[in-house]
Amino acid sequence: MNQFFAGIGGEEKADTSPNKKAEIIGPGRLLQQMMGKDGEIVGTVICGDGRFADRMEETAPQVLQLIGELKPDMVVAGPAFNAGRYGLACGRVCLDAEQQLKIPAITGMYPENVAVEVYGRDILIVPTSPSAMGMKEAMTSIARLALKLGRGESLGPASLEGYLPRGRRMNTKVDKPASERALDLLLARIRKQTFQTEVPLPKYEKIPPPPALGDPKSVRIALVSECGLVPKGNAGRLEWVRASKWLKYSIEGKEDLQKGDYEVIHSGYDASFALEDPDRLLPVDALRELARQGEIGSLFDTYYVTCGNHGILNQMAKYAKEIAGDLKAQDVGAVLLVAT
Amino acid sequence: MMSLTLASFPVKKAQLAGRTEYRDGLLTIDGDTLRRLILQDQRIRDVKLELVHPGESVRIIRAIDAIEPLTKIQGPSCCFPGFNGPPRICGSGLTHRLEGFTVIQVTDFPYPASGVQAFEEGIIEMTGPGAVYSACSDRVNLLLVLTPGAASNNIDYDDALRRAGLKVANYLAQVTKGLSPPVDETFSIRDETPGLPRVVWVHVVRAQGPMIQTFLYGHEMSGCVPTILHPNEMLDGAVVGANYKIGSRTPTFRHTWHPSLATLYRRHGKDLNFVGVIIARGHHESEFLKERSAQIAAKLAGMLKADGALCTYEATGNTHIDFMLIVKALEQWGIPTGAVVHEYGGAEGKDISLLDFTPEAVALASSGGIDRRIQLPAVGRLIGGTHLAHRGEPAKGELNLPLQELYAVTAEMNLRGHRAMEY
Repeated sequence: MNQFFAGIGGEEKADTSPNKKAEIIGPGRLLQQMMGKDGEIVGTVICGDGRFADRMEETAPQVLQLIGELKPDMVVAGPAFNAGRYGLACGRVCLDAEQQLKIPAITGMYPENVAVEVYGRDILIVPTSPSAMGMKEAMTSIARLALKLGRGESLGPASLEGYLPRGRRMNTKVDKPASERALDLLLARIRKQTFQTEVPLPKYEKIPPPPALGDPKSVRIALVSECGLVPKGNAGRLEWVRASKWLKYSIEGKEDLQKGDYEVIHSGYDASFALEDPDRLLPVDALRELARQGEIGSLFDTYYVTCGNHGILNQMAKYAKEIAGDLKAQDVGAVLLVAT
Repeated sequence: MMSLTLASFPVKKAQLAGRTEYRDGLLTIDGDTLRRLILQDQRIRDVKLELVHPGESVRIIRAIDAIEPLTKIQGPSCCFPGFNGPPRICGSGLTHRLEGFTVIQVTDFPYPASGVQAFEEGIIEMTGPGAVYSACSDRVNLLLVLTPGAASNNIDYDDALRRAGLKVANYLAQVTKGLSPPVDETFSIRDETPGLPRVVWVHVVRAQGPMIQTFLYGHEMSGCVPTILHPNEMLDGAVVGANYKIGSRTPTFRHTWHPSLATLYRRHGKDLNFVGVIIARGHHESEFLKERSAQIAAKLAGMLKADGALCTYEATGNTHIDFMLIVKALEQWGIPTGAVVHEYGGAEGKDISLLDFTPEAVALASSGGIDRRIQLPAVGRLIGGTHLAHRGEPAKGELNLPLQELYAVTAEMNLRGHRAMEY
């Protein structure tokens, strides 16, 4: 748990280093009470959520080490409710426990917590209310599932067990043939009753292609890409998977992008050709030339970049809207969108 | 309009002996007579008869069709018209059936074949974890283990084995002639209950070509636009399955007693009026033919004044697209649908589970993911060969397979209530 739920302090104690306690503290008391004699909390590992978020690669193994020393059959992290940093910490702890310690883990979060998008396909999360007001309900679910998992039992479908779907569709058995259930759905539709499809359709927003540029000779064009090309050193810390941000960098005064000035943090494609000549990703040289020849108005002196590797569709749509807003404010009339 | 009385003689056990008779669930079969019947066709050189009961440690490979014996006792036409008699309209009068019993041809094809013409196994597991996914595992099965004779090609041989199976089915069902059935039920959609919605069943079958086709009144359906059947025509065997493509096929006994037809008939007059069956070909070669077929299917439903359509299909990708276009056309015609789909999604169910979809498909029931894997234990008795046809691996020992390689798995998973859910 984080410093807040451990009773150490609020934001001012967010840098608390990982440490462990033998006793049951904070929400652990409620968890122990709910598990009764069927489960035993063997200890509590505490870490400041700011510390975990800011220095995750250093801190996560330390937390895992402390958990391992307690030799638990399973790990309960959080619940984090709608706290973003705490959620990301809980998600990472659960993932590490499952993958490295090979023991089951569970946490609880508000379904819209950003960590659900990041870790939701890989770990077990029970849905909670946005705030700790819903602690009792959250712990009820966590205790029930923790006991099942701790005993080595497998879990049924998300909707029956009460956890957030992890994007896995597995077979299970129900008491009616599919034809009969399809007929039930049909009759509900005819009777104007509510119904729930068993196979949600993938949802893709349909984007109509914009009309062609009337006259590119007067248009300011910007370069936008998810290629992960960033100035050497990656000072903006763009992530190599599931990017949490987009960045923009100046190309003012650059006639073409020089080898060695840039790096590609995207790990989803072979970037060796791009490193040899970054214009192969962002064709600054060609656009400058077209501008000189008067074929286009000008090249906008800033390029926009994120990393599309394992990109989360909803997040990417958000970045795109933000970038588009930024471009419009700068009188950019067209975008060369380079995909990798 | 048609009224059909279906008299059911349940078969609990079968044995081979010097006579053919049915008594209290025991079917006795005169093997010599049956052999003579089959070997009348020179395209079949030899036949070995095997009986298999539920729960036996048996695995059947090279299973072709599976037919529940039906025979016409009284009334026009015959059962399996177009094969066992002229192509005259069936679905009226009195039909006897051996319920829970199937005749299955088991054979290799005589000539080498490749591509879509190559036989792909659908395995029947009579016991163990695979049984709940294998059609026929809960039935008493008579296997006609055939050796090809003077057939000029595989298509010719396929014709011979289909006729043999249907002839045997008729002969065996005839044994009940003169007996009073333990169960009989009369099927009719003549009486319509005012105020209840009119529901049509849209049955999409695969018709790709030899080895992957479906017969209607004795003729394969590749040139067929969607057409209307009375449900009793299905019960009497107007549709015969000849799609042998791995697991997502519909054997004849599932056409004559399909879970969609069963549920619609059971609820006819209670919460719906069953108005008929639209049978449509799947696996059209072009977008043009797919749209043409879907439009005609929707128009027929409209002409039947259907308030809704229950839609089901057999087979995989190409036919799945036909199916979704039919759903779309019906919805655009103003006829709401409820549809059954089997899913993909990979061994762990993490990938996109539908190969194709239309936004109008808002009411889908899942019959489960068919590419999840299953571990099958070794069996005591293997029938049909020594190695799996499409994989070439030894067939008697342990196998690890995707569910779609089990016999008629999609219809079986539909019937037994398997479905995919979010985990």
